Amino acid sequence: MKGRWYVMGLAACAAFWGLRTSAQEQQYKGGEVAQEQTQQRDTANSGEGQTATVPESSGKVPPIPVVTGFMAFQTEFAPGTQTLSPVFDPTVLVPIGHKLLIEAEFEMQMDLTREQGEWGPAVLDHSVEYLQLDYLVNSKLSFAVGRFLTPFGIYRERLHPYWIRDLAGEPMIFSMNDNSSNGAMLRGATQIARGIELTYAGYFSAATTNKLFEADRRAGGRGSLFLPNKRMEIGVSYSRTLSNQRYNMLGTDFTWNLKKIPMDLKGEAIYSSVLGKGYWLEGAYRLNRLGKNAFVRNSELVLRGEQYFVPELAQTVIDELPTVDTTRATVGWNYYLHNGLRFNASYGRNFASGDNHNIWTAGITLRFAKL
Amino acid sequence: MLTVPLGMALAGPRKASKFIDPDDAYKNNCMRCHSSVQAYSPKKTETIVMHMRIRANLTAQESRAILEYLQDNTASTRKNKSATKK
Repeated sequence: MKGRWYVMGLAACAAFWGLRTSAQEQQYKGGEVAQEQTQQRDTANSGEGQTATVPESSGKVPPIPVVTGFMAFQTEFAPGTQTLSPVFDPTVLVPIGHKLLIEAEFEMQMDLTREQGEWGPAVLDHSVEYLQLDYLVNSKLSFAVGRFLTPFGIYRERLHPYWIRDLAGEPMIFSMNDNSSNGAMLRGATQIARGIELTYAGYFSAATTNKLFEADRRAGGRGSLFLPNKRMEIGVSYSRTLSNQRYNMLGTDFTWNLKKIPMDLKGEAIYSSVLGKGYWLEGAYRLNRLGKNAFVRNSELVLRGEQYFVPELAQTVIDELPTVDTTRATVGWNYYLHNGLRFNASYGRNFASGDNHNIWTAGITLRFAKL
Repeated sequence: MLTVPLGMALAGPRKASKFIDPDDAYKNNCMRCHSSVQAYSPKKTETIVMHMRIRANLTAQESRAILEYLQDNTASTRKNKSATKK
C-alpha cells in the first residue's frame, strides 16, 4: 500500500516537472533562442576552415530542468520460472546556473514471478539510484555529494539503464557492484598526451540502512586511459567495503568501438577474495550498413560470454551470485523501432554443475523525453 | 583514493589542444554508449551535456564541442521538419 502511494507521488512529481519544463520550452519554440544560438556559433566558427572552433565559454543559453528516463517491459523464461518485469525509471536534472547540477534517478521495478505453475506476489522494488549535487570545479574536475552510482567498472555507471544496455539480462558478476554510495566523490578527466586522456574518480561512502538509500561504508575509485581517436578505453577499479564484513574488490574493464565496422566490444573482470571472481565479454554488431532492407538496417546482434567462480569459502553477502562455478553464453537481437523505442530478445545457455538450463528473454524499452 | 583527482585539480590547467572537432567529439564519446542523437532544445541540451560531463568524465573542451554538435544537429533537424511541413 505504502509502495503504491510512493509510485503515485513520484508520477505526480514527474508530471509536474514535465508541465513546468514544457511551459519553459514554449519560449524556445518561438525560434528566437535558436536563431541567437546559430548566430553565436557562426561568429565562433568564422575563419577556422574545416575544423570548428569550440567557444571558450559554455553556451549562453541558460540550462533548464529536464525530465527524462525510460519505461520497459521485460520478460524472462527459464525452466519452471517465468518472470514479467515492468520498469519505470524517471531521471530529473535540475541545473543551477552553469556550475551546479542536481540530478536524480528513481527506479521502480515490479517482478511478477510464476514458479511451478503459480504466480507469486507482485513485489514493487523501488530505490533511489542517485540523488546528487554536482559542482563543476574546473575543466578537469567535478565534485559530487549525495547519493551516487558507485564508480566501479563500466556496467553500473554507464550501461545499467535498459535503454542503453545491449542485453536485457545483466552479467552474473554485476551483482557484486550493483550498488550506490552515500557520500562524496571527486571525478574528472585530463589530457595527458596527444590523443590520450586520463579519467579518474575517487569516493567514500557512509553506511546507511534506510531502504531507499541503502549503502555500505566503503571507499574506492576508478581510473582509466581513454584514447578518443581510437575509441578505446581501459580502466581499473578498486573498492574497500568497511561494513560488517570487510573486503576488497578489484576490477578491470575495457571498451572499444571499432571505426571501420559498426561494432562495439566491451568487457569487465572482477576479483574479490570474499565474493569470488568472474568476467564478461560482449560484442554488439549493428547491421545498419548491410543492404537497404529497413528491418536488417535497424537490427543489432549481440553476443556475450561470461564466467563466475565461487570463492574458497562460500559467500553469504550477495544472494544473486551463483552458488557454483557457472559459465553462460547469450546471443541477443535488438530492433530499433524508432528513436527511443527498442525491442529486444535473447537466448542464453547456463552451464553449471547440476544447473544447465536455457534462459529466454524478450522485452520492449521506451526512452521518454519531452522535446 | 581522492589524491589523484585532488592533484589534478590543484595542478591547474595544462596546455592542451583547445580545438576539438564537434563531430569527432560526439562520435568518439557519446556513440560509445548511445546509438543515435536525441533532438532537444538548446536549453535542455545544455543541461544534458552538464549531466554527461560528470557521468562520462568528459573534459570541458569535449563537453563544449559535444554541445556544439548537438545544438547544430537539433537546429538542422528542426529546420528539416519545418521545411517538410511547409
